[in-house]
Amino acid sequence: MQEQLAQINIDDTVLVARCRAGDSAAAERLIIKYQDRIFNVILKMCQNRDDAAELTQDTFVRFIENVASFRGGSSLYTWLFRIAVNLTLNHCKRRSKFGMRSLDTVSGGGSGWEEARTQLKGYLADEDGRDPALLAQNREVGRIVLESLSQLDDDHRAVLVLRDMEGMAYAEIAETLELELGTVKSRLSRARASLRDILRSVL
Amino acid sequence: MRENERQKIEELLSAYIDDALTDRRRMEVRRLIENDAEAAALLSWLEKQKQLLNVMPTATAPAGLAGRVLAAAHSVAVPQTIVPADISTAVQEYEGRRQLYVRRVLTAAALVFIPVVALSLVVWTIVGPFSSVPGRLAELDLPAVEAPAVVKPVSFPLSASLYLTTSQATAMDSFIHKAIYKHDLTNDATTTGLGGGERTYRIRSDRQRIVALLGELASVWDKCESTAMTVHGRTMAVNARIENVRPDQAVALYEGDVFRDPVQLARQMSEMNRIMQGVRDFGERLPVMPELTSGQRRSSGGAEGDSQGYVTLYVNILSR
Repeated sequence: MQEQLAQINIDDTVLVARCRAGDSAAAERLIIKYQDRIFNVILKMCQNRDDAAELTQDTFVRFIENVASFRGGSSLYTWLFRIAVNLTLNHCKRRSKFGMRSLDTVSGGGSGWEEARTQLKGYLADEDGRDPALLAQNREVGRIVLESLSQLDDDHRAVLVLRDMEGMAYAEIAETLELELGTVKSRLSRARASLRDILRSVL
Repeated sequence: MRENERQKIEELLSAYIDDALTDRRRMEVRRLIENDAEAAALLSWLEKQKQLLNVMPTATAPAGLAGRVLAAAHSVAVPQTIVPADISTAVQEYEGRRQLYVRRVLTAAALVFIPVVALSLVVWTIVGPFSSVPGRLAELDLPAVEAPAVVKPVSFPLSASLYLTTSQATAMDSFIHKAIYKHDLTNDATTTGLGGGERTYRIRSDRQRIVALLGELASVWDKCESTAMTVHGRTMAVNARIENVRPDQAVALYEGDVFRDPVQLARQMSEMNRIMQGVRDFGERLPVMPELTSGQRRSSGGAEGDSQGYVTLYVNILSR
């Protein structure tokens, strides 16, 4: 029966063309297709769920407003992420300008904090063969990692989120952030080194 | 190790864990980690750090995002004209004077016209060629009068997206799959997997079969944590979203009068649901919803009249 249903994965290009012609169903499908990924990247970058929801909405509104100017030179995927990252970076800059950055240090305390710290240290220092997927399920471990991530410069955080969390290729990151490939490599290396230093100081 | 050298090694290790080095560079890194314990420890840390970031739990975008985006895009597309206060006041005064003048003219015309018409009717009744006795007209050999041409109303296209958010996405998917098969819609349906058990079906068929499918879906409606339906208008800017849509509402949209704008109908349903939700919040008793138990629902005259036209339904299964 499965074969009887045509497995048509409608190409983004087709959906974009329909969007351009004013087809709201096509726009809705594109939003549904990408909303979780965009939301996750923004959330990891700005660390605030309400802000992330608003920025995700702004990203797609901006997409619909400008869909006529999308010429397909880049993939829709990188185009959407470029809008999202630019909006988020601007938001982060405004927030830091007005002193609204809430996470200045990785804060301790809370039940399970010490245990999470020990587990994370053991894992990163290669002292035990813990499964990272299981470790990441620990809420306190997640908090330590995300708060450490929030200590990075905005540019470093963006490149790290796109590579290590979203799984983008170097070329896609370069296209999204409008950087040279070499800059992506060196920025990523510095971001990883900075995160390592932050985690070492916390653990 | 000098800072410059250290930075270069870190860059090499970073590219190594991303598998982004040439074979020659890769060999160099392997030699380095075999002979330098510090570099090996650094590489291990970076690899583990990357793996951990890669498996961090992911969040789901807020429900109803697509509807809000389309509504916001619509409001941006049709901006309200901003009129400065003084210009606005002057325009309002002008409009007021104009309306008063028109009203006076119409009143004067009515005072003259109504008595004249009434008098003419009286005179016509007295001196007219025949009185209004029933049957008298039939006796006269009058030429047949052609009936005015009937303007055929234009039927509205119908395309809507149904969103079923459930924690049992796989079971829901299987049910819909079978329902499509049961109602002979396999040739009219396409499907796209969105990952994580989520799926979108696009079904383009005649109204009766879509109504039958929706009737079938009514039996699994209570398995959904939330439901919504977006009715798409002729353009992207015109659409309506019904939160907490009920099966009878979804069916009503597809079996409704084909000459009635479905977006308008959806807006009314949306408003009704909003009011009902408010009432429910106050804990008041609500009327029992009509129950749908079978896909063999009889469609109304309106839907039958459009049996040759195609309509589209997107069914989106979203995982909770």
